[in-house]
Parts: sequence; C-alpha cells; structure tokens
Amino acid sequence: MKPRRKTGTQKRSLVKRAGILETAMKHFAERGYDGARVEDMALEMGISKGSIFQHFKTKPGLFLACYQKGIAAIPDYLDVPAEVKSKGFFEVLRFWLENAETQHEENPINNRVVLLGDFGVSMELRREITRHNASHDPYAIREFVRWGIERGDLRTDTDPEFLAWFLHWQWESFLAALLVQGLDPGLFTGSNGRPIPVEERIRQFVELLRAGVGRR
Amino acid sequence: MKTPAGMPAPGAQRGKRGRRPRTEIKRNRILDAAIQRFATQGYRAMLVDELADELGISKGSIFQHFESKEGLFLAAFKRAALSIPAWLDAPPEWKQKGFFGIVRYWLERPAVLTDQEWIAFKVTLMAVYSTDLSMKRNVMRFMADRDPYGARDFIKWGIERGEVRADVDPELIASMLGWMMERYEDRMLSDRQTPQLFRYPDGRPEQAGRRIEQLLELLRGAIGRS
Repeated sequence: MKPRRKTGTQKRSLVKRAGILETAMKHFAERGYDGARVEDMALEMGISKGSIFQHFKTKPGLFLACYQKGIAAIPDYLDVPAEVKSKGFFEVLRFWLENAETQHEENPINNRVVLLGDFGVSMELRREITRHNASHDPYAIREFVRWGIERGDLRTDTDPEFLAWFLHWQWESFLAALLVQGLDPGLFTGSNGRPIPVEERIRQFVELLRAGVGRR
Repeated sequence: MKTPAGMPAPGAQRGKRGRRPRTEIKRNRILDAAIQRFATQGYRAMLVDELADELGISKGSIFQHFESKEGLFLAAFKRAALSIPAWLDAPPEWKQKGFFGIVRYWLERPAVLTDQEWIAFKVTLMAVYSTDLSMKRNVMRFMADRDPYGARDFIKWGIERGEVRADVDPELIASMLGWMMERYEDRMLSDRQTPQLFRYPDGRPEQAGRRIEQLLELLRGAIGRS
C-alpha cells in the first residue's frame, strides 16, 4: 500500500511535537528531572500546558521521548574513524573513553538528558528506559560484539548476549564516573590516596576488559 | 565495622556530635520507617508529612534531625547500606570456595531474599540510580570513605589467596566488582517487581543459573589471576 501523503494538519502537529521535544530537552538538561516544569516549557513556547500533555500524556512520558531522542543522537560503538576501527575491538573502546569529554561537549543537551535517564529519574521511569534500551540497543552493542567476534578479538566460549551485558554495564558505569567528576571518588584516586591520571585509568580499565572478554 | 539493622550505630552511646542514646533511638526509629517508605513509594512520592503521621511525631521534629528530605534520604541510605552484609560475611562453607565462590554466593542471594530484605537493597539502588546527581555524589563519597560492604578487605583477601590479580590497582577492581553487583541487583529487582519483564530479544526467558555462571566466568577473566 502506498503511504498516504501527510495532510497539512498532521505536518503541523509533527512540527509542533518536535518543537516541544527540543524545548523539553533543554529544560531537563539544565534543571534536572524534578527541577524542569512543564508549565515553564509551555510558557517559553507560548502554548498551553494542556497542549504539551496532548502530545505526551505525562511528564514521565515526555521525559521518555526526550531520552529516546537524546540517545538516538549519540554515536554507536562502531561509529569511529576508519583508522581506529582497523586496530580492533579494544582500540574502539579506548577511543570512546579517551574522547568521552569531547563527545559530551559536542552535544551537551543530548548527553545530559541520557545521563539523567540513567542516573536521575525514579526507579519506575528507569525501568521503562532499561526496557527501551534492551529492545532498541541504542548504541548497537550487539553489532559491535558480533564484529569483535568475527575479527577474533573476543572470546567465543561465553554467550555473546552476556558478554555484551557485562561489557556494557562496566562501560556505562566507568563512563558516568569519568564524565561526572567525583561520581566515583575511589576510581580516580589510587589506594595510596594519590590521584591517578585519567589516561592511566582508561588504560587499566581497557586492559581488564580485554582480560575479561578478549580472546584467550 | 558492620552494624546489623535495628542496632544503634557504633559509638551510639555518645555519637559523633554527642548524641544521647534516647536521641539516637528516635533517630533510628525515624530512619527505619523512612527506609520502608522510600523503598515502597519511591523518592518523590515519599512525603515527610505522612512519615511524621505514621510515627506520631511532628514534621518539624524530623527536620530537626535531618534538615531536609535530601538529608533524610542520605541518612536512610547510609543506614540501609550498613545493614547489608559485607562480602566476607558469606557463610564459611562458601568462604572455603574462595573469592569467586563468595561472589557466586552473593549473586545467588537476591533470588531468595524476602520482600522485607529487599527493602534495604532497594534504597541503596535508589541512591545510586534514582536521585539527582548531587545526591549521587554524596552517596559515592560515603561508599568510598566507609566502604560499607568491605570491598577493599575482600579484594585484599582475594589477592592474598592468589585468586585476584595483583598487577592492577585494587581500587579499580573494587569499582568493577561493585558496578557488576549493582547492575545485577538492579536487574533482579526489576524482575521481581515485573516478572519476566526482561527477556532475551528473541524471547527466551533468562535462566538464573546460567546467567550467574557466565557473569562469573567473565569477571574471573577480568580480575582473576591467570
């Protein structure tokens, strides 16, 4: 069946929806989940609060839509320069860790909303987000792991699905600690109490991941 | 080091700020009720007014002890975290199995916890995942300073037994172990509240035993001594 062309009203509605999302993301990123108010967003856009709820039903629903938009805009694991990719699985991981801050600053609003969704909303909303991520695989980690296995960089004696989880859990936690200063105070202070340079920590972390999931 | 739930914290006779025992008892009574409410209602829906009603005290008296809702939550979290057994509190028959035997023991445990026992876990998970970032900073600061689950001792023990690698800073190993456990408990808690929410993308239900086996294998590879 040929898709019907969108009518003028539908188009207007889509444009409006996109506008709401953009404003909402800015508010969430700047003020956090609780601090962001739908009334303020409506005020800024010169529309009614009811009209926002017409599109997104509830505040959690609005946040979820923002999160999905934010995470979709963050590059996949394999979106790296060709010369990095040619060096294999663990160099790709290292590339993202070393460029985490640059990547974050290039698109602070998207990244901030994603960070909020992972660490700053209610457990119920977080569960929705985890479910979304489990089915949408927003960073294409399954493809990344498959690629690593095909290259012979990864071990094949464990289930790739578990390997992907393990990797992603470690990865997300390390990244959050890296981006939010002081989130894991022990991590960047050695057991002797002296600060550890970030590059050194990244090197050690990738080394441990290699030992865990790399081909033996 | 460890304080079981329901007991006054070490030094309670005269607390840090010279708290008297009666004040300490009241404080803990407020905290135990708060832990329960935060866990069942969530951070935002938990109302200090209702907590005060339940305890038959005034709202002001709660704020006298904890200053703000944030302060109350932080104190509730600390109490919950200190009530959870440390890594090395595993039963002797599991300790005999060594470092990864102990990890297995704790990985298997969430499946048999009662709802009541889950309450403390839930509050610690909320603290990590579900408050704002400034709260999370305080939470992580406490974890680093107090090390409530004795992760440092545990890793030291594993290194001395020759089971854990000694060529990497133990702090990084402690972080990785903690992250895995947090994420795992988070998943278990979700499974418990919404059974079968998490399945494989192709629809296979997860099998707990196999899941633990695989995670242990990956963890052993990463931090175990080869």
